[in-house]
Amino acid sequence: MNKLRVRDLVVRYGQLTAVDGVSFGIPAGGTLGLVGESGSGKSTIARAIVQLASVARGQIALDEVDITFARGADLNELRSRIQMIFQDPYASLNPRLSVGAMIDEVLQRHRSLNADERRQEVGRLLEMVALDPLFADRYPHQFSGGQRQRIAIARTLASQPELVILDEVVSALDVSVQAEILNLLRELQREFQLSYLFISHDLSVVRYMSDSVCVMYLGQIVEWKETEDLFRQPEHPYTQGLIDSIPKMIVGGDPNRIPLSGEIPDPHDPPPACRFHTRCPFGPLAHPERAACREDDPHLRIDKSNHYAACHYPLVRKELA
Amino acid sequence: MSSAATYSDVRARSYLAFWRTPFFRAFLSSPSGFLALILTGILLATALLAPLVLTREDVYQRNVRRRLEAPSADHVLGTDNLGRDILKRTLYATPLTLQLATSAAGMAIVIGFTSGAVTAYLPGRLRKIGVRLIEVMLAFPGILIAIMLVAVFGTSAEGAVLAIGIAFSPSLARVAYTLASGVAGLDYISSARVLGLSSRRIVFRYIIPNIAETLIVVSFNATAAALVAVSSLSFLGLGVQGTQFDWGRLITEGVLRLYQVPLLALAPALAIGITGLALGFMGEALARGLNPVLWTQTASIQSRTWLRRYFSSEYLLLSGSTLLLIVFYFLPWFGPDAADPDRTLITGATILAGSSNLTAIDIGSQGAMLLLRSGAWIALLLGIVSYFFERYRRICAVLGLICGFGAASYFVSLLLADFGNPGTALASAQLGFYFGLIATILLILQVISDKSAETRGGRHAAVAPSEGREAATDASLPQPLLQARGLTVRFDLESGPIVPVNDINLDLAEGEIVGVVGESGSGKSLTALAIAQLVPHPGVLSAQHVRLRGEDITVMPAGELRYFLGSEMAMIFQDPMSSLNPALKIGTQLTEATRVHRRIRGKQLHKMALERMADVHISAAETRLKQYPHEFSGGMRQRAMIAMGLMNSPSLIIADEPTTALDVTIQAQIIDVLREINQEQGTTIMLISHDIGVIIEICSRVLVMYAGRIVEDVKITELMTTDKHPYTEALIAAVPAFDSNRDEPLASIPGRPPDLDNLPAGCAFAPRCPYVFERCHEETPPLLHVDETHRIACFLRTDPPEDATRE
Repeated sequence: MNKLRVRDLVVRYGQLTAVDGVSFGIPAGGTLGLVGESGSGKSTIARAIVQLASVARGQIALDEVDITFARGADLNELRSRIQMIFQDPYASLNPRLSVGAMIDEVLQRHRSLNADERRQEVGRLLEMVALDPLFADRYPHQFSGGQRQRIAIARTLASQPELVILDEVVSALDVSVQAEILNLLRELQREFQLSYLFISHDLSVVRYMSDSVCVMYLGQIVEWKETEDLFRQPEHPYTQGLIDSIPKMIVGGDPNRIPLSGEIPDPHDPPPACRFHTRCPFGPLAHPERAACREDDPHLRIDKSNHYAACHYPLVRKELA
Repeated sequence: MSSAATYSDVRARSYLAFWRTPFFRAFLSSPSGFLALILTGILLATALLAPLVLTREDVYQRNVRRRLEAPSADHVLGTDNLGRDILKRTLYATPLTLQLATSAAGMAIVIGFTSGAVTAYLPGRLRKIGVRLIEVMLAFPGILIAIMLVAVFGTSAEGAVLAIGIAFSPSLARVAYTLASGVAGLDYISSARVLGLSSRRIVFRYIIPNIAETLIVVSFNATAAALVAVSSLSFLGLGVQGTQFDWGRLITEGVLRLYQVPLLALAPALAIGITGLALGFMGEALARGLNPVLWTQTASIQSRTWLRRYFSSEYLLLSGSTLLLIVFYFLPWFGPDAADPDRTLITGATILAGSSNLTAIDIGSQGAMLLLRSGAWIALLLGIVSYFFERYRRICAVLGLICGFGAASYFVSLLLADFGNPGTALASAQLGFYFGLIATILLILQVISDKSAETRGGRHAAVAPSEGREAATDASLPQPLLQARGLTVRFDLESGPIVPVNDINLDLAEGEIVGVVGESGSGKSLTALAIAQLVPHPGVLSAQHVRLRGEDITVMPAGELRYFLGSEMAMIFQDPMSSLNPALKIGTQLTEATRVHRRIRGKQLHKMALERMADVHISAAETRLKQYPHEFSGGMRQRAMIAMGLMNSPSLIIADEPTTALDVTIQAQIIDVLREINQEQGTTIMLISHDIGVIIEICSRVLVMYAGRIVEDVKITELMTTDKHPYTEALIAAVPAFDSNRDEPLASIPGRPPDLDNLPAGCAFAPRCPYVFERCHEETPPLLHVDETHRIACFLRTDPPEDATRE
């Protein structure tokens, strides 16, 4: 059963359609990765799920209950079940509250504990993210980036969530610290049966964290697959391009990679039909006969092996044939 | 005892006496806190005590026989035109003036902040109307609106307060609006909403505390402004009426007799000035008290050091000379002829000079008097400036001394002159002036040359002559493009010195791409800045030498250095937006340096710019050159930065995290551009990155930095095969590789980089190292060659202990 189910989600900011008809599901206790360049709409999806952005169309369901327009008491209950951790640990903690106070107020809000129990709980939560409980009296500016992200995680756990949205949580951190945070997140997932929506622009991190991955381009999902399959046999040329862009620890770079040219187009005015055709190394730029890319919208198709790729000329199929 | 219980204990212990609370310590962490306390204390005491101590007779009783007297023991500041004591009247007016000012300001604050905050949360169109309304109101000077409003409310104290309260509110509304709408979009407000906190809690715990600092400063400044405004209205006769008087009315009386008894107007004016200062200091100190960043150790360190700083030698010199000059200024007032203080000075000078021709001295002494006075005031002003702005302290000390010196030389020349001849007196005074002037110019030149040497990293103290010669003999070997020896950057902070770049030796060969990798705080960026002689203030650079193309740039004069680096070296930074000037077209910025340095102009220059744009693959270059930075995407800006760097065909490009702010796809493109430039133009590139993956992809060699030192220098081709520094090993292992097993935890480096002000003894990496042994804690391992192209700073690799080689 899916913990979270998103159907045909559309989010608009004024004239801009940031998310354009996106559907996906996150299994209970599993992790869905969401990748794409900046401007692809990843973070907007996150904000829509936690009701920081208003939904223009579509449905968001938690445990098969529609929560798209939850208000009042329903929204309150939802706040404890769905949590989000932000990218920049320097901006997401209130500089005027001590660590203990900011965790304590979440406990007050969502758990019925007395003052003494709350104090115990603050200590326990900090220990859970491998921080000294004595840190509760300190303020955010006294911590390094990695420690702040741990504090943000402890605060999130305070409400005992079922689904946690992780929006670029390690991209502001050093590689060594990044590894620690990722390991911690996986441990916590196992311990508390958490479901994750893991958003990142870094495919190697997404590969490590996710069970399946959605690749986004200009507000749409272009490919959705089990992680191993996606990396072994990407079907959409954009996925291939993203994978090729990552440094592979190969001296002098991977000679076989096909680099993506150009930049993501202006989302106010996305290209017609296949939105990727203006940059696609396998599309009409290289193969003029592939006019379909310019004329027809390639909808996300489901093939036999449960792969989803929105492409008229998927890569793997061509190679296999 | 469980850890949670320990936390409770700490809470219990944290109830402190008021003066030991973090708030109060931060409040006092700067001299302005003390001044605020003292001045406010005096003001409040005066306001409370003056009506109790002073009787109505003291301030209203006329005594025409003693009118317009100079200061004396009876009347410390003299008397007014009706023979009343000026000091007593000024003190007596304190409570009324403060009451009027604070009630006017209070009204303005309440109206302003509420309307501003409400406007910020109005729906779309209404908000726009609100903002426009505030802006229109702001277009009129507050005091003019106040005068118009007084006409409506009537000329009285109450009318003035009402008028000012309303007239001053738009500027406060504007501030509140900007703050409230700015804070609403921040991440921590979003996270509070996601955490399900109530709106009330978000407002009172998240929004208000984060804008409180600014609101407090603004409120106190507004109170000072209201004080001036209320006084102005009273001065104009539009405020306090009848027998009541405030400082403004006292000034009205004083201005009429400004030339007879200046103190009559000066005393209430001074009172306004002091109150304004007290309010300003108080606002600043309160805001500091509310800032938790200052609640931690820094606050206590600061509060100790500002006292120490005050008594440092330069300071003592400056404050001493200032004090002397002030005494000089006020002394004559207390002389035998108090009504004509100048006379006292002249008499004094006459007696000293042993002459009796008073007329002659009169002429000569006019100038001396003027200079003494202005010297005293300038010295005082400089003293205040230097006190609060550390970076100007030195120049202020020097200028302050010059003023004192100039004034004194005047006085001395006056004394030494032949007073029998007025002409000689004037001539010698002039001589003194020119002497002072020349000394001033010389000293200023000295300070400027000191300064420019400082910005270039100061004098390079550690150059032993023998080392210089030794290096010169090296010149017969093939010269590397860049050679740095003993490169060190030091910061002398108040908490002690830190050395973020520690004795770095590096060579860059022509045509190489060398990577520099390390965690944040490892000193990699500062090393790049040090090579470019751009160490930020107050860092001090020292080095045996830094040779670029064989020229030691550490000893180059500033002008030559700028030209040399401008044509030989280019730097590219992480955030291209902050390195580009948003107000200039890309084309102008691209060509500026070339136009200035190489005097190429017109068509030829334009063609060069187009070629460089092509080098970095910017299409439609013709149009792009005419655009502004904000019209470029992040990747395009970074390309433009690289193109700009290429304009003078530099031999070395230093790129500091050029792709960190970019998407992976764009990162790959920028790396390709750098590789192409290296291959086609032979440009040497130093690439600084925290991402070892990027470095492996493009570089031929990598320098690994940890805690300000190079710990490994190795060819990329050897990086994957040979024994490495344990830190390098850990850095590589921490990158989630594509073929790694997803079920295993990622390798991480336990612990975190050491604080530079608290480095462990021995190897800085020892506390995190899996292979650590005893010697690592005792000695710092030197960077040694293990083979011709591979240097490591690790005992395990360079001098392994017998039993530790296995693990």
